Amino acid sequence: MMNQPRLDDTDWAILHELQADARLSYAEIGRRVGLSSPAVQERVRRMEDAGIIKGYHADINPAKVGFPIIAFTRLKQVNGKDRAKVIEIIQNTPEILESIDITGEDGFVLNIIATSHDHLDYILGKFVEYGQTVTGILMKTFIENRVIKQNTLNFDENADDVQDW
Amino acid sequence: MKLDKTDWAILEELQQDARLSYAELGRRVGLSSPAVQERTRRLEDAGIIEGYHAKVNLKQLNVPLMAIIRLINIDTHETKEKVVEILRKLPEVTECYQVTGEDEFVIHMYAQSMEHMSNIKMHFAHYARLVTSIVIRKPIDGRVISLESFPYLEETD
Repeated sequence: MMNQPRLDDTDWAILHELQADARLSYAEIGRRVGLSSPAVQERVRRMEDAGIIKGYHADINPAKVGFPIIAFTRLKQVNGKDRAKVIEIIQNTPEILESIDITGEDGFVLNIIATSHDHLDYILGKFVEYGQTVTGILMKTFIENRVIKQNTLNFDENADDVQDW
Repeated sequence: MKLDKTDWAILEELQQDARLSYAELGRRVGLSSPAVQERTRRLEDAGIIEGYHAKVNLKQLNVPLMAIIRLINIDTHETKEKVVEILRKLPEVTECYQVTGEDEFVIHMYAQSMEHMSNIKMHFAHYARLVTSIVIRKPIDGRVISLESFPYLEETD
């Protein structure tokens, strides 16, 4: 197990291409980063094996398949004894596309898709006995599926680029 | 666009593995490679498939922290635009949504350390009240949207 895999500039260039378009052929990636197709394939396999690339996924627009409503729900004040039940409800509710455990009083953040407000209300109703929900409906997405770049990781602890406030 | 069972099967396969070849995809859904390619193109053109993305595990790259930050009480439209402009320049911020309710923005960000996170937050901390939650884990992350999960969608146009 490599505990700290080192990526060189070419690995980063490949990662960049695959984050932007995961269906590019190895030949096309190779052309873009200046490698042969087998060399690209080998590097991709190494990054997959190291767990750096977790998977490749098509991104579906929920509104276009019948889910015009996207909601972010914070679920709070869940009693310890109800946690298992809440997790079971989350598991069995396919409209919850994402469930995140967070620190603090909220505990759970859910990303929910729904066909209507009534449908959303019905889904949220499943939690009513176990805690309090605070829901915001998505109005606008400003940033999503951002490509992770090499400079995302270049944090310099001594850099003095923080604004005064 | 009306989706039939085969379209849904294609969507399901590509959500699970976006790098399947058309030949393999066709084999799985019972179509020839050109036929599956044609249907995939239609799903893309209709905006149903918005893109294909490799998912990078930042934990493996020494970026262990993820936070969800709510930016509350952003007072004016101008401030909102300013905040979005700042967030777009910060590579650590991977998602930014505007939502209804008292929370104006919900952002997701990654950091190497608490100090790193704190430095990033300084860039926009004076425009809003920040509520930061550290992500412990994501037990469900990008669940596949499938006809099997949502049988009531069969009527959908």
